[in-house]
Amino acid sequence: MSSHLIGAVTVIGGGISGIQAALDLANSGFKVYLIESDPSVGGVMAKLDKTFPTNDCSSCMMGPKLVELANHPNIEIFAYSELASVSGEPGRFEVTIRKKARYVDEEKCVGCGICATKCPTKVLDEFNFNLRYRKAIYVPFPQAVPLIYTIDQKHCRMFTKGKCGICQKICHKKAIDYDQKDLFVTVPSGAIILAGGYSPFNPRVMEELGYGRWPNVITAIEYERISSAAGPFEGHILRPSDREEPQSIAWIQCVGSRDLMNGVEYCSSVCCMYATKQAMVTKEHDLSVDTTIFYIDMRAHGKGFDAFIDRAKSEYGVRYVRSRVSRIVPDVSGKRLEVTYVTEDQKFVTEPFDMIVLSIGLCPNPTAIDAANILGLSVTPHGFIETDQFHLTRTSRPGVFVCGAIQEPKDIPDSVQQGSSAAEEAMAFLAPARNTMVPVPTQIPERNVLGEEPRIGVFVCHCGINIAGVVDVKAVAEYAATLPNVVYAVNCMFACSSDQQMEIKRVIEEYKLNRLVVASCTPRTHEPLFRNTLKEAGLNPYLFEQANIREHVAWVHQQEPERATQKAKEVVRMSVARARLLEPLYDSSYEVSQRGLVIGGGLAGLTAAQEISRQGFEVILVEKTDSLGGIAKHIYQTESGFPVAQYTQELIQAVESDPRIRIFLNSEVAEIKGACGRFTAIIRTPWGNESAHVGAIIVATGGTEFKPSEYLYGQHDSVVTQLSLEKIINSEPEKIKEAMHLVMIQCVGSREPRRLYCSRICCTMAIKNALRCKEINPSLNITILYRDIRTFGFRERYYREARIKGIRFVRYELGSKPQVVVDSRGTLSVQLRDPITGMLLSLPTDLLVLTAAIRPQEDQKELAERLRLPLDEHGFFLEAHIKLRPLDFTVPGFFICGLAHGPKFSYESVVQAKGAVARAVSILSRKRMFSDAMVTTVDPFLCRGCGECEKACSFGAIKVIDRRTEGKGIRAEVDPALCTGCGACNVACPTGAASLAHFRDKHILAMIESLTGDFEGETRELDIRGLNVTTT
Amino acid sequence: MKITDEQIAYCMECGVCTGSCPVARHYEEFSPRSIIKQLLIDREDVVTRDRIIWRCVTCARCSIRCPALIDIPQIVNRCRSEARKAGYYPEPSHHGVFHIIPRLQLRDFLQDRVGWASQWRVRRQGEYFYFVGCAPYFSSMFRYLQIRPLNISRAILTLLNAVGIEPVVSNREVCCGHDALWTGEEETFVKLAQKNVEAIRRSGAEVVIFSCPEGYITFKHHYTEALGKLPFQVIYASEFFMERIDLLKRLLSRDGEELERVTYHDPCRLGRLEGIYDSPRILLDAVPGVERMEMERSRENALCCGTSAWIECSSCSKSIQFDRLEEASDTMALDGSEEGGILITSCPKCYIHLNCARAALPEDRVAKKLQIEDIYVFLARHVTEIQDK
Repeated sequence: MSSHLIGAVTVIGGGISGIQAALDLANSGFKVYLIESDPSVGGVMAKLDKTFPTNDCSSCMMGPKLVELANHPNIEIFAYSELASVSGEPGRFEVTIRKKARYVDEEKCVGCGICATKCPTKVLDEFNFNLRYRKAIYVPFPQAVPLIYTIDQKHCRMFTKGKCGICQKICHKKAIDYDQKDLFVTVPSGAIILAGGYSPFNPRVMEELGYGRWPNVITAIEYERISSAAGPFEGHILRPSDREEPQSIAWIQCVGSRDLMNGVEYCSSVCCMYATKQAMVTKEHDLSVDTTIFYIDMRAHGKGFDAFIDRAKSEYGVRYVRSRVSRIVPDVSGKRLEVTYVTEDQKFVTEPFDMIVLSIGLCPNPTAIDAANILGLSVTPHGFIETDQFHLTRTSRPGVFVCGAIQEPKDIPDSVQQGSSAAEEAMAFLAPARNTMVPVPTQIPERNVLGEEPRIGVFVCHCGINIAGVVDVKAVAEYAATLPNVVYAVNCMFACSSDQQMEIKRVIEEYKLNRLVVASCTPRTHEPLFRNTLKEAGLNPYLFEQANIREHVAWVHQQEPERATQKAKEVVRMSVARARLLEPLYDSSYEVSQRGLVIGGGLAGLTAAQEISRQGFEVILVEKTDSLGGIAKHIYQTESGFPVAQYTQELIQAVESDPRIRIFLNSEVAEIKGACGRFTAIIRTPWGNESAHVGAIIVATGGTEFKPSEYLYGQHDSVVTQLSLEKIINSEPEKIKEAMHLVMIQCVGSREPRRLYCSRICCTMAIKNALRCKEINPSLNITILYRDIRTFGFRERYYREARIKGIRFVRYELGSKPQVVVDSRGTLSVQLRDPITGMLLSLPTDLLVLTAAIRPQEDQKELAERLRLPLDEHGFFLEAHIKLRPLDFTVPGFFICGLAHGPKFSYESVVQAKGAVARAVSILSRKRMFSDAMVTTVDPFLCRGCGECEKACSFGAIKVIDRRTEGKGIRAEVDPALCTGCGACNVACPTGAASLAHFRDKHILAMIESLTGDFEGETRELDIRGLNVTTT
Repeated sequence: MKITDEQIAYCMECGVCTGSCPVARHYEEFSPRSIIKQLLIDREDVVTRDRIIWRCVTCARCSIRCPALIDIPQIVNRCRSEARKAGYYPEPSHHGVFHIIPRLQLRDFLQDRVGWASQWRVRRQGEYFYFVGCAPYFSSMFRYLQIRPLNISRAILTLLNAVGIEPVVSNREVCCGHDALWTGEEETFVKLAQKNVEAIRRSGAEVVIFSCPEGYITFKHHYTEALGKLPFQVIYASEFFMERIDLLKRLLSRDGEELERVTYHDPCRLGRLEGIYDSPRILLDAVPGVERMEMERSRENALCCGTSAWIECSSCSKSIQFDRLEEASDTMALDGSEEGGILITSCPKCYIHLNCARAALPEDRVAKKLQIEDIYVFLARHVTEIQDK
């Protein structure tokens, strides 16, 4: 079988979900072909300004992932391409890709952008939603990956009028090819992942909102571009009509969501939060702007979301109005827009706003649906990809997996973890073919330069006109040639082009260079390329220094070319000064223990263990109690009817009989030593401690149902929790049959001042159980007392169904909770005031069901301390990055899934567990771990053990250790596997004991001194307090 | 003490130097005696082609006890120049900030060094020049230790104003060059010296007052060696105030506070290298209500503050410092007092180093309760405002 599987995967869609899937696969020994229909990858996330709940810059966050993607040896990106056809069978697909003609040779284009500056044709820029112009030859955004220009054939004069040809004339690289044709490429793929993403709802169909008619009614995604510093208004929030700053802005929720009138039944899951974020960002731009959000239910079901909304209200003064807007028209002046709505107490209000933002929903991306049709996948009535009921990344076709918003509307972290999860499914499917399609790096013997006098070569890049248009690059190169130890200096058109790499290698050879300085752009994107060139030239890759004369010079000093040239010289002089001191560095490596450890034997843990085994690795499963299955054993079915408890039983049997899985019951992990890839776990078992070597650790310790302390719980037998109700439904249905009234109270223990988080599943769970009760006893009166109904995504349909079935919903506020009373005969009733009618309701009930919060395990804090893992404010485990690393801990080698991370549905735990396995396998699949040479080392003599470094380190990589019993002193020690080379400890170290290769004081000081070394007669007066810096 | 080969040759390998050496006590590989021996056997290269030469704290505890009168710090310093020429540099502490500042000061920067002094009566021209030194930089650098060494300079101005002196403070002042000199950067040192002498000459000052012992000895001895006779007098602050002790005594008071228990730490530059031991003690004794105790290792025997010239701060430094703090603490707690007391020093660097060490002391150590204070800050704290009189 294995010889037939192909160790390559095609990922369709280059948004964040597809990118994550591609990276996880590529890092685990699979070849990846990434197809993106747009000219560059990045998807919707690249268009966003900031992301909630941290309000970090979206494209900045994405940057490192894009760079990794672009430079990954195992990933081939087909941008501006579409799926053409698929043949073959699972494990051995033949995927044919149509590479659309860019009319630009991808091999030759270096992305300098000269063509676009000279192109005479302006075209509305769809990346910025037509709010500004781009040229007919373009890249969608400056950080585009791949950075290759594309001719917009519809508008290019060469195609419309048959003449122009300016770009072809001006292109130094001769990359323009007007005769280019679509190209078909066939790649072998063992599996396919569809990560097609979404497209925004078109609100034109909702005429009452006036989109397309009134220019100041815009969509939320347009607003992202407006508030973005890289957007059409350069980060100034302006109205499209008159470019004036709006003083009041309203957001209208559920435009194209929860709206059957417009054919959309589902909730888009993300709009409440992005509207809140946008209102907050608006306030950060200008606190005086009035911001109002009109909503139905505030859906803040994710981690940290309720606290975020609370902050929006209390700190930023964002106003929330629970009402769906009925009409938007211009006022008499024609300058403002009047919004009409009805308040909860039935008052009609007409309120003027300067700008309206429509919180549009998420629709399936048509390109992805085309791909789904080619792949022959089943699609839901709403046009999303149909999946297995419980395994949400499995499509109707074996070997084809799905992730991201094309499966169901979802936010970034959910898309990222589903991307990892789909990657895991593909890897498990193709496990025997791992490492069969990826290139093996070739070893080139390295020239020993120790003891040689520095011989520095300097290449000064024109970057087309990006640098040369401002800086006199020739003068910079000539100047560089005069600097000490520089034996060769030249200016060149594109330092990064592939022919230039050949030239650099030739020069290194001919001039016996032992240091290289490239004066061009940022090392963040280009350092890997040049280091690789050094390697190919037989030099240690760390003998490289990059001077950034584009971002730091040409771009910021466009108006003053002479001074820019002077600064470029100074920047180069500094780099040369540093280059002189560079030494060869060597990455260290160690053997990986290719075995996983899963802590917790609930659904998430069992899934993780099974999947690690499917990947071909041994795994140790540690469970604290005497049986596997955890809380999932008590969940009889999901809202869609999938039998979770039964599935869990089967899973337990499968895991128990799996020869690669070793199970420890009644056991706990007492201690973890070592580092990522080579941990030693001490497991406390009933028969004593056992130790095991493992490479990666998945924490899946689960959660627990909160035991309420209010509403007579524990005092009256008829007051139960949802889990108990579920048991009654399944084991004593007669109790439901006999009952006449049933009341459920939502948010018991959730969304309280000290527990300001939503338990995510409770609304759906209550509705699921209510519907089951109705099935059993159709005449049962069921009332659900709620604060906001949060049946996000496709769960909305169960909410609708419940309402259709006659289940009543009554809202209450935190300040006026329902009162539970018992009369003299012992019967229960619940009293509250209905906010819509103002009536005091008294609801008798035979069974009062409390929908209790999900809490972390009671001993989670102790476990966290034992494993030195961080917890969030509510005691759940804290992931490394709430958006882009939802499955990782900050500590490398540790991963998180399931309820231990936060409240979630059983099938979400499964998605997470598989995703966590994908992350873990990127370690377990390596024979050796390489740790970067750019790590801190400690000089034992200089170290005074003061601990400043330990305080400064965010990664627990440097610690002061008392070795006096071993005859040594108290010294800081570094774990190179944990060290990220950030340098924080170096700064904190007062003695210079902790230092980072090539960032030692001597390197920095050499640069500072060389900067001030040559002022050509200028006298400068410098105020050390920075008050008045003058130049005379 | 003149350094001649002859003098080295007097070495009788008694080892009192190494035995007295605070570094050798904690770091066996370091030995002044071996250094001398290497030089004696013409293996200067072994000494200069190694980082070992930078590990000496130049505290002169060895030389002050040397029966052969060998000036080991000076020999070390000479070797350092050689080592530097051979490309063997010291490990700068605090990232070399204090080494690059003097080098940058030789460029054509004019800094605002005196903005902080505007609350006192100071002049641009006048008879007295107060050499501020590095305190402004120290104050910026050592915020993380919650100390403000610039308060020493503030205290000096308070005291000078109190005794009726309005000194010159100058933007044209640069680093005294002490550390450049002691780290083998002679060229830098000479240039700094020239700049300072010129700046002071232009102020018309006849007397230059120092609160930093290093600046004082550098001017007094090394400037003279490098540039010849100086066109002004130099005087160390405690000596200067000693001359005005009667006036000062009338200003020193204590308003109802409890008695203060203090002990004085002799800085190596002021003590062993210059021989000023008494005036600081007399000044302290002049403050009403001060109970001054003497540490076992004091005056000529005083223990170093652990490091010098902002290089090679190390595990040894910390051990030395802990040792000193414990000694001070024990001295002042002889009668079982739990109060901690005040460890007083007159060198800004001792002040910083001892504070740094105290911050690193475990909470449960009695020495953690020590206060560490500069002598002039202590004195200024007890000066009554008399300006109105």
